[in-house]
Amino acid sequence: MALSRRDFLKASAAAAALAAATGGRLGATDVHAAEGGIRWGKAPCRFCGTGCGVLVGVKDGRIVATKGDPAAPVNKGLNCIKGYFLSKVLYGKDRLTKPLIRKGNKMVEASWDEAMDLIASKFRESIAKHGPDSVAMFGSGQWTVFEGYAAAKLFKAGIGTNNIEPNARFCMASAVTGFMTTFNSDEPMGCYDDLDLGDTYFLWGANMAECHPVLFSRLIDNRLKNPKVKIIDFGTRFTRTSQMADKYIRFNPQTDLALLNAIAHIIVRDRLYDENFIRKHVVFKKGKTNIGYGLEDKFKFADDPKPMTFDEYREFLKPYTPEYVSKLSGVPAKTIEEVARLYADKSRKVNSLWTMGFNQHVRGTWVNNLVYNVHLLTGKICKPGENPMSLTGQPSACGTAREVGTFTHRLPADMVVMNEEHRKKAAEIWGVPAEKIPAKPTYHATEMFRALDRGDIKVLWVQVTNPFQSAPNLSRYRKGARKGGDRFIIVSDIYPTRSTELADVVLPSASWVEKEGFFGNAERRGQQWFKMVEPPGEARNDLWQTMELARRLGHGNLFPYKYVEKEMFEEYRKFTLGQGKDLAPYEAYTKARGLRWPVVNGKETLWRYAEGYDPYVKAGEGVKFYKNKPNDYKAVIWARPYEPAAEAPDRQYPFWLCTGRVLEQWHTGTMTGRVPELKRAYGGAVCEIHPEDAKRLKVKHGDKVRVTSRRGSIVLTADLRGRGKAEKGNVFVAFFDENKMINELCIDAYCPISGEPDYKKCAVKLEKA
Amino acid sequence: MPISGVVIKCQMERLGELERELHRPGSVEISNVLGDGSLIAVIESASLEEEISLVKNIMAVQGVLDVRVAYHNFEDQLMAE
Repeated sequence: MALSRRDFLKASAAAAALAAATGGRLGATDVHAAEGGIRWGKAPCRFCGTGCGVLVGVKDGRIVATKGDPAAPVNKGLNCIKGYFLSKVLYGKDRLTKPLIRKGNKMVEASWDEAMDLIASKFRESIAKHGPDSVAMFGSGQWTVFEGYAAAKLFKAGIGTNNIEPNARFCMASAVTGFMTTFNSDEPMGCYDDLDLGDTYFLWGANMAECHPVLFSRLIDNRLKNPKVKIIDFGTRFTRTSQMADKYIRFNPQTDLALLNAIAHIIVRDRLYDENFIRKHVVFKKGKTNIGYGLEDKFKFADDPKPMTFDEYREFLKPYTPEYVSKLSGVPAKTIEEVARLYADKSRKVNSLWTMGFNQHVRGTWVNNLVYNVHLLTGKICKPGENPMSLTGQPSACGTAREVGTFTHRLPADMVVMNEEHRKKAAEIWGVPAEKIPAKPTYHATEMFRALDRGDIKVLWVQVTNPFQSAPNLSRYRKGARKGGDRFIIVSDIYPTRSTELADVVLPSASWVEKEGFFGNAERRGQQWFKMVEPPGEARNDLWQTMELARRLGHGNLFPYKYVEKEMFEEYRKFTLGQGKDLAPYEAYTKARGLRWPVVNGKETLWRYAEGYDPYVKAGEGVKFYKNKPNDYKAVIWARPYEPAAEAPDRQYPFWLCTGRVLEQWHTGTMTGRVPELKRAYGGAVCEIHPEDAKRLKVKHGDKVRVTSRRGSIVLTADLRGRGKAEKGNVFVAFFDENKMINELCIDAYCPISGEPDYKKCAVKLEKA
Repeated sequence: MPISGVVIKCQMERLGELERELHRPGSVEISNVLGDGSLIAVIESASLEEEISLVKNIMAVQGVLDVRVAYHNFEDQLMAE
């Protein structure tokens, strides 16, 4: 590179950073002239659910540069460290470029025709022999809206089965059922602006500094500008987030249920609640208790909600005294009192934020309900700067899995297959008879893999995810996948993974800006992008793959589009209009840096259910939970008790095991693992152990330790000095490492309401290896 | 040789020290110091690995709250590959 060009690029780098840091007041925002030959296009980031805007620079058909998008409201021109490898993940040396078909123990290259003919014949055979519920699709929150919509439409309206699930069942399902049971509508009332406007932020089971760094930066920026701001981190592991919080509150695993009830207890006991808000906007309910853990196959649960009065709720809270909950949780009673007062402080705008600590929980729905209880009691909800907000871990967990409705029980825009009116509406839009869509949900994700193991599901197509590394109690489901018989597995991906190795057919997929796409982030923001580069070799996008199967099965009429993405989106949009989930015309998204629904008359909604912001709330109504018609447009405060985890430490297995993510590796590492630099930076999973536990076990930093649960055993390197620090009696292992699959040890217990497994709590023992 | 432009958010009381401590001509060049506690830096390195390592080292320095990436150009590296 000529020196002058390099100097230009350095000047561009400095100017872009300066412009982003000053909101464009300083620095050159247009540095294109200095970057001759680079063509820029907008896209949301490919990784987590934050939905940061990225400008992608293409030269000679390859991505050569990326910038934080200064016009993107989410990240205002700045990306997290993952921005460094965002494009590089597309260029790994082992990208899948041709379809592969299993011949004995070998995978052999094949043409698309051969692969799709084989897949279609297996679908036809299985449906004819065993019925439509013998075939299934497992996708993800990384599906674009088009891909998820096409898959749901093919399975529900074409094949006639509800056998479709996303991996979002493994990470977001409890948030969905939490929203649905409390508000009768999925997704948050607030938005990321709350991160800039609030005073108190309670983080529950969320390592935002590592897993949502851009959002955490907004919190830190808010605190730098406003000394009143306090960040309180509730956790079972000390993280980079804890280090930067004003207060870290360690609690014993599973006792978040009791802590939230204790906070409510104090608010009610000391009359710190907002009586007017409660009277106008809240009803009280209780459901079943001792609801089980879903450990047995075909486990069924149906709640039986009963109304209750505020006085009965007060009685329910009575046992949750700070003293009692202190013994259970390990949090001093005084701290619980302080936290409750901070939640109720009328002079402060209060927010709660959470991720997998709440959702991957055998009482995930309940703990979501309980945090809403606190906000509903205090009236700190549906206002700029004070809201509860569930964060997501995948780029379109909200936009695709939840809004399109790629779960077994769901249809687009909050509708469900169990409701006849909803089925009729969906059938009308899809142009099929209403009876085509089955009225009964089939399997949620864990049960889907159990059904494959049992042989009830014969043909399974996996797209954009890696369940044979990410499912809990993994060994059972890996063995089940290769039991033979009529089982047939298809996996579409961009790299070989621990799932492709079990497949009968592997299809090479296009990724991110190799196709036109649309994601929806955690603040209801839909974001569109155009294709910018060609996928490698013969790779094709998953949308084409699904429509090709449809065509071969005789369901091609479901996809009659010319400009597929645009026309499909306009069809999907019909589900949302008038439902409080209104999307804008496709064209609007091609220009905007995302829009937050409901979008009515071209205007996005920052705060749902709030007069002055949400077009569905009329003047004078203040707050209206207008989606909750069954509860007279009020939100529900639920009496949900503390119940123990499915498996707790005992003499034989004395440690809690918690799993999760780290900054350098994303999800199961299939993309970030292709960046050699990252592999060297954080190449293998380690076992975080508390130094006192390590001393007792005579384990030093860097020693090998065997970690064993009732389901499996692996050897890991002990880490006593990492960024994350395990609490006494706890160990933490990240799940990205395909060579150390910690999920083999995890229990496949799940929340009976959401079906989401608990990856955060099971019992293990440690031995020096 | 990848080049990136980053914003380093610092504790205000350590801003001056960090400007001096982090500035390394040829690898980390601080171009601006902002009143809100941010340093604007250009990072140059021989490889993406070195670049990420430089950023992670900056993140680990006491008083550094956060590092965010505004611009990243790696066309040299792609050509070499």
